[in-house]
Amino acid sequence: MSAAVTWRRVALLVLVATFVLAPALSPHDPAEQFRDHASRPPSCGSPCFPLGTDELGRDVLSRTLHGGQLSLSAGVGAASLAVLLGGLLGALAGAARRWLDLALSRVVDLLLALPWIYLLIGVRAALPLSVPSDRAYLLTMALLGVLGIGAPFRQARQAVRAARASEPVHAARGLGASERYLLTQHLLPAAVPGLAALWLMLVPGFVLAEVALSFLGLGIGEPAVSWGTVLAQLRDYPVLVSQWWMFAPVLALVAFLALLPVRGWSHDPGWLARRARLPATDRGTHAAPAS
Amino acid sequence: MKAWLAPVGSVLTTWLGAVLVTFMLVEAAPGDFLSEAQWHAALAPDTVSLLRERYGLDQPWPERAWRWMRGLVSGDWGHSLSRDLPVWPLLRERAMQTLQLALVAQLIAWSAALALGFVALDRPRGALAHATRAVAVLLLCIPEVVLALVAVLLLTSIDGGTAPFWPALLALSVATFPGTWLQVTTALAEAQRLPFVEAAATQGVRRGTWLLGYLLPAMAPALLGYASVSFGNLLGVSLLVECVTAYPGLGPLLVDAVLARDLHVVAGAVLLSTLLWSSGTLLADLVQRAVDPRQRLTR
Repeated sequence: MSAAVTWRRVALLVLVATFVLAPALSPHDPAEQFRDHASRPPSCGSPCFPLGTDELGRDVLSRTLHGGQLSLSAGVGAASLAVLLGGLLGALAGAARRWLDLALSRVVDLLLALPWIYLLIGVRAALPLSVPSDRAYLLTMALLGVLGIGAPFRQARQAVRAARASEPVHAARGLGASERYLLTQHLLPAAVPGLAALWLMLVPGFVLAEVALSFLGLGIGEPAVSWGTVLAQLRDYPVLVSQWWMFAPVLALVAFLALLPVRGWSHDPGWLARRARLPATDRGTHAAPAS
Repeated sequence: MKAWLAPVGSVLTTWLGAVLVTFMLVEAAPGDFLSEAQWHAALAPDTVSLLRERYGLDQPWPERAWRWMRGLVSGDWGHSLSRDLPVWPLLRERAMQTLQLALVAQLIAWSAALALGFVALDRPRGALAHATRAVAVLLLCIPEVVLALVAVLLLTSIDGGTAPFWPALLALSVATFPGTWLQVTTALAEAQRLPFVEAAATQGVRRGTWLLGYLLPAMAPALLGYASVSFGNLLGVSLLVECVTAYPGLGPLLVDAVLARDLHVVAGAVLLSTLLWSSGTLLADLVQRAVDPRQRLTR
């Protein structure tokens, strides 16, 4: 591993730790309103606002740190749910009889054939709009996770089908191994490397999807703070043209995405295939479903 | 002949699935789609009872599903509660706006990606290739809504009264450029290694002829494949950009309809976006089969 890769990994860890430790590192409560210091550019008087304040006098640095915690956790949670659910269903389809495989695959094909963001917003319309922030957070995470099962499903199904046709599985079956043994000892473990790599690919897409949903007012809403809700204040034209410091969450988001190996500095279309240990002919057939 | 029927059948299946999904979306909301009618001032009092009868809201769900499907085929895509208007003309007008924006943005992104790819062809590790890659990777990390905000900021500072089309076009072109450029460079690298392309270059074929007559056709199947897949992503990015720039496309219509709980408009927008995407995919698939004989043999 080169020194540059090590440094980038360290930088990513430090960045993520900063957001995880947001409550300890933030100079102010993100909801605290300093009405006498509203719309103030970055300044360090008394009190100190290193990234300025919004229209209600709330500290932008504290909101960016807390927003990062919520946006990243929503992205990570949604990606985990998608990989877990999609991976299990995909493994089941790969190992099951033809009719079950066909039924599950057709449902997932349909899910992948619908424009993702339209479907996301469409399903959101069928759910209650005015919900408390904590429920909106869970709702957003669940929505992203459930509608994002397509890629993990295909990944797991393909890996399990490939493993079923492999020599060790034929040998185990010949020695009298049960279907359950084959599934737990051979087939499911075969899907794990690909799913782990895919999880890392899905996280940035889901973080961006959460930001987009909250920005549009359909995701996590006030008083909770996410990067999307902070950026949503820029939809107000006077704020956009006069308060440039309100773009602060973008810097944090770009730094996070740029340090990830799948989207930023080492963007490489063949990365997933190598991590998943797929044969060369299967490369390039796996697309993340995100925004 | 059968090979041509397969993609058509696949698209028809997708449409049928999308019709069922949109019906479920309308049915899944609490109450029925007229439950929110009292909150819409634009709705005439008589209209509610007429709509209830027309969509069979007091009938069992198979009957409602049948009426929904029959209505879609005959051009009745439901009724907008917030505007007291039929949904189809509204959607058609907005979809035309979205298509216009998306196609022009695609044209710009593809032209820029191909031009930069061809210019950097002889020096894949040169300064231009590195600079383009750095910009593309940076753009991949910036959310589309932020690109749209910056486009609004930039163009209104130049011309205060600019129409929403221009910032939307700038943002959408810039947002779709990185993915397109990465695909173009990958396709270029692969096409360059093909024997007939290499042979033409070594036999002294003129540069322009080589680029347009050998290299571009060799890249076409891969690029058409990407174009068909990326059209759905383009619609999604367009939705976000339209909402930020207040461009009157499908995006703001859908988001406003969600906030107003105008469920027929929501279902119609989801369905129409699916029809547009799958039609785009089908078109690219058929063109791909026409230009690449291998597709007809291997599928």
